[in-house]
Formats: sequence, structure tokens, C-alpha cells
Amino acid sequence: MARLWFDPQQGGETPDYRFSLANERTFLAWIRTGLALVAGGLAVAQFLPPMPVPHLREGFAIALLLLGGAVAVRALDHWARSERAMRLKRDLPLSRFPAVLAIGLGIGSLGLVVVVLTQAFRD
Amino acid sequence: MTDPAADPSAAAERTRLSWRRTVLSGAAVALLAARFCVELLDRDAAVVGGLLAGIALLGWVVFAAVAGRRMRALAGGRATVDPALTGGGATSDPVALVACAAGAVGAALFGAGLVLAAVA
Repeated sequence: MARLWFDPQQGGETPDYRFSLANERTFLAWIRTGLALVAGGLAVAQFLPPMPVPHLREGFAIALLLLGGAVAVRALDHWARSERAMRLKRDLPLSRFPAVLAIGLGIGSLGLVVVVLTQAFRD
Repeated sequence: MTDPAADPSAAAERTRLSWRRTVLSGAAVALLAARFCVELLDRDAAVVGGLLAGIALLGWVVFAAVAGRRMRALAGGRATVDPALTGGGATSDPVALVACAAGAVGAALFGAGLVLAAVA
């Protein structure tokens, strides 16, 4: 099984090329999501004014950067597992990750709004 | 079997465009990282800042080259009439995908390094 993950294209039957390419497009969409998070982290680090709590800005930036990297790794894992499932004619792997990510980003954005507003009213 | 050369779903073209969008996202990340390098290390350490910025941009150039190779495989090589054959870019190239993910992770770690250097 591990060998199949590292090279999902060994074993099983070659799927319809349209499904393979759809899997590849999904992977790239996830990579772009990860890159957007990395860009967000870099933007927070450069353009956000320093916050009252020391190093809060840097913490936010690092959190976004690491989250972006994690999304990229997960994208590759999901692609490999989907490719393997298609070749072995199994169901595609289910995942809660998109929902978890969406909820996490929503909470994080809300927190950032609160921080920015409290800082604005303090000045 | 469907003839991929006359594919109304345009799967190969859509995949190629998807790669192009990803390269553009990478360009935005590289520019932000380069700007951060230059901003962090000005005055005395300007040379180091410039070098780091150059590394960020070079990383993007390498990624664009890998993506370009994959895009050419998708555009030029039509999948053969029998999709079971793997020629012509019909199946994904795992090396390109691993390089793509590694590039994104590398960018994330590069950025984290810069932020930590800024704090120190």
C-alpha cells in the first residue's frame, strides 16, 4: 500500500484520462489555496501594523504560512489517494478537510476583525 | 472509446489553464517574499536581502519551468484514441505534482524563516 502511495500509477487499471486530469486540476486548485494562505501570511507580516499584543502579528503570519504549507502537503496526499482509488475502482476518499479549513479560516478572520477594530477604537 | 483529440470537455486544455493559474499564484507569492526580503534587510545587509530576494524569484522560475513542461505535454501530445495507453500527457506526471507541492511548502518555510528573522 505504501508503495502504491509513493507511486500511485503502479498497479490497478489506468483510469479514463479525463478523471486523471480532473484529479490533477483538483490538486492544483488546492495548491493555489495553499499559495493564497502563504501570500496572506507574507502580507500580514509586511503590511499589518504592529499590534498591541507583542508578536501577535508575527504569530498570525507564521500560522498562515504553516497552514499554507500543510494544505499543499495535504493536496499531494489527496491526489495520490484519489489516483489509487480510481485505479483500484474504489470509492474516492471522503474528507472533512475542506469543511474544517473553511471553519478555521472563518474563525481566524473573525478574530482578526475583532483585533483590528479594538485597535482602531483604542486610537 | 472516446477520442480525446476531439474532446468536448476540453480536459487537457482546462488542466493546462489550471497549471497557468497556479504559476500566476506562485508569482504573487514570489513577489511578496522578494519584497519582504528587501524590506527586512536594507542598509547594511542589503546584499543579503537582495540575494534572498533573488532566491525567491529563482524558485519561481524553476517552478514555472516545471509547469511549462507539463503544460507542453498537455497541449502538444494528444492522448491516443485508446486512453489506456499512457502517452501524450493523458496521465498525470507525479514528478511535476511533487515539485509543485514541494515548491509551495518551500515558500511557506522560506516565509516563516523571514518572519522569525524579523522578530529576532
